[in-house]
Amino acid sequence: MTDSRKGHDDVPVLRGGEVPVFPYLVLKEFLAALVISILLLIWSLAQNAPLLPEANPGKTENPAKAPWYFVGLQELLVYFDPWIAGVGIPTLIIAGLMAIPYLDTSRGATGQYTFHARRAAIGHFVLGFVLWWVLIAIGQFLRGPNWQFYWPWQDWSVAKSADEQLWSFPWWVGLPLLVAYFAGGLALARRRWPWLPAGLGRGRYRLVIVLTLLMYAVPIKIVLRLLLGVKYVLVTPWFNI
Amino acid sequence: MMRGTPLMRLALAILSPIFLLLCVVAIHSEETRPWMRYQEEFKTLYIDRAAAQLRAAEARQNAAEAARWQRVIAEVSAAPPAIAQTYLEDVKIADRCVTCHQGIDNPLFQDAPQPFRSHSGPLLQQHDPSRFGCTLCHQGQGAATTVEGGHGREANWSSPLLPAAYVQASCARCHGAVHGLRGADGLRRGADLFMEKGCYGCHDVKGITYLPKFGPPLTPLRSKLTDARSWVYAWIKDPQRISPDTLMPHFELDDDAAGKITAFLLTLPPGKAPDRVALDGAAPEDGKRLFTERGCRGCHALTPDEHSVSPRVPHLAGIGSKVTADWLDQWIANPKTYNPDTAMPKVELTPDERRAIVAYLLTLTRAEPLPPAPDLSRFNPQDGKQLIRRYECFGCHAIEGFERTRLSVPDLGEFARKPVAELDFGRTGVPRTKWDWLERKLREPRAYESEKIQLLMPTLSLTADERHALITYVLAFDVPTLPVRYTVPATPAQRALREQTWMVAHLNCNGCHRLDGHEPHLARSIERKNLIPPSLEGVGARLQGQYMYQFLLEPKAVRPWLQMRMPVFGFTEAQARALVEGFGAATGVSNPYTYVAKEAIAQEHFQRGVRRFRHYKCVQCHPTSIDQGLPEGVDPEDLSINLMLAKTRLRPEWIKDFLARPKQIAGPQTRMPAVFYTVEGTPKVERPVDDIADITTYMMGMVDPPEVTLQAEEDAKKAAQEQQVDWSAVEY
Repeated sequence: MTDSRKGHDDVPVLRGGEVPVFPYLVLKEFLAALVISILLLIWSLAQNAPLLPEANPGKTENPAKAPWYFVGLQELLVYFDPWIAGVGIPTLIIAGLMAIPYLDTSRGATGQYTFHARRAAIGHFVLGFVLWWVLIAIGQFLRGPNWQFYWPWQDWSVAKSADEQLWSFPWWVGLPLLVAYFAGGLALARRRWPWLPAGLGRGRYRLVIVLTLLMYAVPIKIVLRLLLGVKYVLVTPWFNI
Repeated sequence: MMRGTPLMRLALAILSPIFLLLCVVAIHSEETRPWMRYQEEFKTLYIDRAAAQLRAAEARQNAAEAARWQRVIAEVSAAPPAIAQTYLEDVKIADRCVTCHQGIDNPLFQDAPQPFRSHSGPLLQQHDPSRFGCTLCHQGQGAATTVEGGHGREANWSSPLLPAAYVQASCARCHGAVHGLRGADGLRRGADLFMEKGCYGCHDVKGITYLPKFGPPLTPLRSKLTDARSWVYAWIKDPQRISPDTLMPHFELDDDAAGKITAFLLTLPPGKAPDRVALDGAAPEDGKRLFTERGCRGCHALTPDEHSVSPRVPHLAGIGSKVTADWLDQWIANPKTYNPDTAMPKVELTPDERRAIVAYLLTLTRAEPLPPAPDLSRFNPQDGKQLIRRYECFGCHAIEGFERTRLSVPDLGEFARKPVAELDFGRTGVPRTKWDWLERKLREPRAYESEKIQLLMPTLSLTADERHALITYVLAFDVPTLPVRYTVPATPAQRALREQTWMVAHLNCNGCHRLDGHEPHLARSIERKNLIPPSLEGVGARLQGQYMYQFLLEPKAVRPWLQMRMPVFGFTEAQARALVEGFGAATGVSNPYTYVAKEAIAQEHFQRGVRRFRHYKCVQCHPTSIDQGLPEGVDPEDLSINLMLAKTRLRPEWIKDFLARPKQIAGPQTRMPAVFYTVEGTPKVERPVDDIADITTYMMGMVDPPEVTLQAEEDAKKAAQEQQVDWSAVEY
């Protein structure tokens, strides 16, 4: 794409204010790879792989932690039932991520690496991504014996009480709340960003909003539990959320 | 060609060389391992030393040896760097220690600096490194090839290198017995101390079972003590203040706890009160004399400046302020009626003698009065009972109501395999190793206490040496994990030796008898050395097993000139046998029992023995009969044991040895002259070997007391002739 400007040393300008992928983007990415490689090399030279305690079938380690990349999921087990935390949420994440190219078919800002043009899409994605890392960090560094919360300066050998006073919304509160959350979210988004349903079409719009609301439901549930001691928002004979 | 912005180019110019350099460093550090440097150093050292040997061989003009060293130098110079490994398939041990410790089995490196020095002692001769590897004994991480890794000084490596000081702990991994095991003295001492210090009272250890309670029973205290309240309170509060030598540990109890325990102990039923004893007419000065003469001082100390034979034996200074006359009289008369497990033997005394001793002991009162005890009525005895349960006083003392209470002291049974991470170091800065943990624990048992856990182990008085031995022993506590090919079960001799060691310590044999190089404790208070009971040094080689066994069960006077008699310990048959076999094993006698068949005694040797016996005038010193009493006008110091006893008492091998080398066997102070050889071993007579053998034969078959007069000899000859009947001339 730069052939027509061969022989010029100054930065070639393509359409309004753009620069070519090579070398500007490729070089940036190459430098990022270089920095990461240098850090990894220094780390591997300075530090041996840790030797963990010998496996002992007679002794379960406490806390038993998943590999770091799964600790975020394990952390979710505090707030959700295993079936939801372990199957439901990961499935939604994977399916949702896979669906993005089919949901967001806008041609705007193609070829541009810019935040301004896609503030909402990138913003929501980054928030979800940060949430994932925050969960990993909490699970990896701030969880002690019996998966109790310990600050880094607290002594793990001092046991913490596992007693927690938790309560659940009765179904006649929980169900309307959930319905209101999704219906309200759909309506609010339509009013706030009227161009959104227009651009996406009704079906895709609803799917996008529902997936986004589902993502935000996770931190909302966490906050409810931490601040108000809410165990379940909706209790049904088949599943609890 | 576009080259990006200047900033990008600058970053690329800086980061690329750094990345390249790091790659080179990473590859280099993988390629040159620390062991390679050690192998190069070793190679230089080896060639140097071999060259020195070569020069020495050439100087001696020993061509063969010079050629051999030449070959060694050539081989060593050509050897490429390589990891050396011993692999033991059956225990899955891969030891690469010899990768750096290359001189381990090479005598050239006895004084070389580490890691090249050869293994100390003769251990490698018995433990072929190719069969046992290194980490089986030394621990550490055999497969690692760095200094820190190989020595196991890595987080979570459960068995770091045992310091040389404690490495004997590993002997117990294969050897079922440490008694009679060369090179395991520290471990053996620890095993003995574990019993002698009473650790077994609270800590259950496999192999130590059915031992009596370590301390005296606490049940009938009120009939034993004159002022039970003050005495028990003061004792519980600080035993060492009352008796500085005592083994009773200091529990660091506060006034309330001591008061509660005292209140509980005094509520226990007093049991049957001892009979009243009237001391009028009993002379304390007689008692004082008897106390020494009958050997009581062999075990007990009387004045504050001396010590009892072992800290377990009560120091009698202040005894007059402690116990009642009635109790003391009953105790001396028969200690086992009060405490069936006591080590105190029953000494044969007439009631008068006993009363004199009691009168004397009651004069030994405390210089310093007992500290006052608080009013006990404000304490609930049940609280005291709870405290006894908590501190597990019943581990060492029999206490009524606790007969079936189980100990809950931590099990030491598998201490060797306990990960160091499971040990609580509290807030101390003790280095995180098991041995450092144990050292501090034994020195200051409650050092690791924190708000999380209250520790109850009392303070013990142990010397640094004793702690060291105990640490070695505790580090050896393990379940057997090695295949049967590695295990060396205890031999019967070793088991007997172990039991004998315990009994000798428990019963304080060293109080009266010389033992293991220790003078009898009694020797401090008795001047005439021949009044001291015989040495037990090498007794297993000297005495016949049957004789020792009988004697232990039912002591009979052998040396009539001695005032003191072997007291009655009340051994069971099993205990007597263990002592006999243990004493035998201690002197390398595998079967101490002796039988000399009378039919097997060759007559000509026997007769020659009789003549030689007379020739050397043995009877001059050795009385021939104890039934007739001591000969008149003879200093008992010049007397020796009745030789008529020899055939049932002494082992013939020992008699021969003793006749040949009396000074070496019985010590230079013996009155037995060196008849057959000089002290240097030169023969003094014509046929020493035959003389000794024949005299021994005679002694083992001696029937009548040997006569010294020629007349008797002629009578015997005549009688023998008369017996020769010409059967052809007799009608029958």
